[in-house]
Amino acid sequence: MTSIFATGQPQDIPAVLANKDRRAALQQRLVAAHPAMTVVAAKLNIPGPIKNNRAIQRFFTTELLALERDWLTTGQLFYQDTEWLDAGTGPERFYLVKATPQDVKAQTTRFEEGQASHRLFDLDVLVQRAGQVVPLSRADSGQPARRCFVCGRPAKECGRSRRHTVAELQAAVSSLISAALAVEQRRRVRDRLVAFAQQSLLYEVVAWPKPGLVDPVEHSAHPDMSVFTFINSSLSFRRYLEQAAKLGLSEHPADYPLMFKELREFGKRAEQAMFAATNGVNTHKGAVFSLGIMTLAVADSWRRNGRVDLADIQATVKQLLVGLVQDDLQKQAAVDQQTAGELQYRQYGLTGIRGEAQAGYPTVFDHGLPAMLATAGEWNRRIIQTMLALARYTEDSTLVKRAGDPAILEWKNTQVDACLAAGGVTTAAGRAKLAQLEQEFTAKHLSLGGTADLLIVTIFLTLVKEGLADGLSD
Amino acid sequence: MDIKKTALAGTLESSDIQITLSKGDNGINIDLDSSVEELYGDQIRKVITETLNAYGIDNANVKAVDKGALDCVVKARTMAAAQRALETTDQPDWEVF
Repeated sequence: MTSIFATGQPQDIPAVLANKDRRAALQQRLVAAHPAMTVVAAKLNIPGPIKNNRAIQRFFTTELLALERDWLTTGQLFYQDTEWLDAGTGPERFYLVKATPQDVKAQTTRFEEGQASHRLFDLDVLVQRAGQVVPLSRADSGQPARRCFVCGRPAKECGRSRRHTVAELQAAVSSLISAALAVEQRRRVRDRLVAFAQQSLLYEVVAWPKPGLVDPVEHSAHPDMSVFTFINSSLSFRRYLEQAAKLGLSEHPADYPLMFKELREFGKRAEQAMFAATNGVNTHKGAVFSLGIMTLAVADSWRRNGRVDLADIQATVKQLLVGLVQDDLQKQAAVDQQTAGELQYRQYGLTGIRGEAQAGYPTVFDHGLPAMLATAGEWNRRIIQTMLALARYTEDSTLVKRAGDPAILEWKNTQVDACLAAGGVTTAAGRAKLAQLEQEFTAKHLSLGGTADLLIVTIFLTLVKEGLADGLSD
Repeated sequence: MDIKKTALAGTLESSDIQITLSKGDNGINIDLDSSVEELYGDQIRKVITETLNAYGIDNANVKAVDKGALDCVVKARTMAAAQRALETTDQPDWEVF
């Protein structure tokens, strides 16, 4: 592991002492100006000449979120008064908290002791004593004194005796901060993946025109739902998406079938949440399945590779879904409980979304993604053009269900081919064909529900490829 | 050299020491309050006395509240207090340091 101390401005003793004076003056002012509040000074104990750089700042600000979360949870009102984030002597922040110093001290001590890396924090709770502003000591609130983070002896003894070399201290600090930053980065990747997943659900529904699907202008093929139903649905299973991302990002045994089993149980709860949000209308059941798998696969692949690798993501999907068609479709379910996909496998031998998924979503990777990555311009244009590319190659079980005959797939292919030949959404002729198709789907009460699920997954992968590829260097 | 006015340097933070210098007429008298008194009390007194002597101060009352400061910090804070007490300058002379 590389040291975090490679960059930064070295500080000397006079600079550190001058900063102590500056801090003492500010604290004096704050305590005097806010007699009803408790002043908390947050800083880090970073031994050695380098006391600030980007890694140290990121560590400082992200870990303090946990302290703020604690205050938010316990209902303690607070605000940040002053921040010296890039001071050479180390990042500092000054809070005003509406609580007694003793209560605040108990919380800050809990924070400092809560995690190994929080040992590096020095949170002073300031009180007025004999005309001077002084930090409340741990002894004041009956807390044990701090321990050295290298050897566990009382920290004051090691500090005064210089028992440990600067190199030894820096190595310990570096590994504590690096470990905390790695955890934080996974948390940020998780949040990004969840946001991308929700964005892809919403992007799909607002794109127009989509024959046989719900868009903001038209939804005659689906009279029981509207774009608003889809918005409600898109936001209803956030927890599931987060579970999928966490499952992939955490260190875990490489037991992919078991991971998929776990995901599917989360997925059942997500379906319930979706139905509750849509008054029982199936908006996103297929998307819950496919987007969950893809979120898990992207997360797992990112954890292993530290970057977006589409081939590896596809390989991960295949590992997750080994035997899916056999397990799901070849066992005989009670006929009245069968899904459209299960029925069509029995009746026509179509493997539907399960076949597509188990094969690693070839339609998405071979047709959808290339189309979307090759289409420049605004999102609506990219999405509609990609929908056509996907529709052409999807064995859409929703379409077959509505038509009651797999021969509809041949008709669909001819129609989409004509639209693509005319240029798709990029030409006036193509758009005219799209409008005509939309009317025909409405008239025949046809739907491209299966295509929509693959479109959502394609948008998701595009957002991941274009938004996560930088490895979150911001 | 004579102390002209009472002067203070340093804070009550951990790893710092607060030095208050005032006039005296009976040598260097140090009233030390330290969290590491047992182990380092004599050493802290020695650094303060030597630093004051280097400024030619032989008589002074010193109040020192120590929170585990290193020798270099004890010296720097004593220098700052001395220069303020002598009204030479508000900033320590780091060349001496």
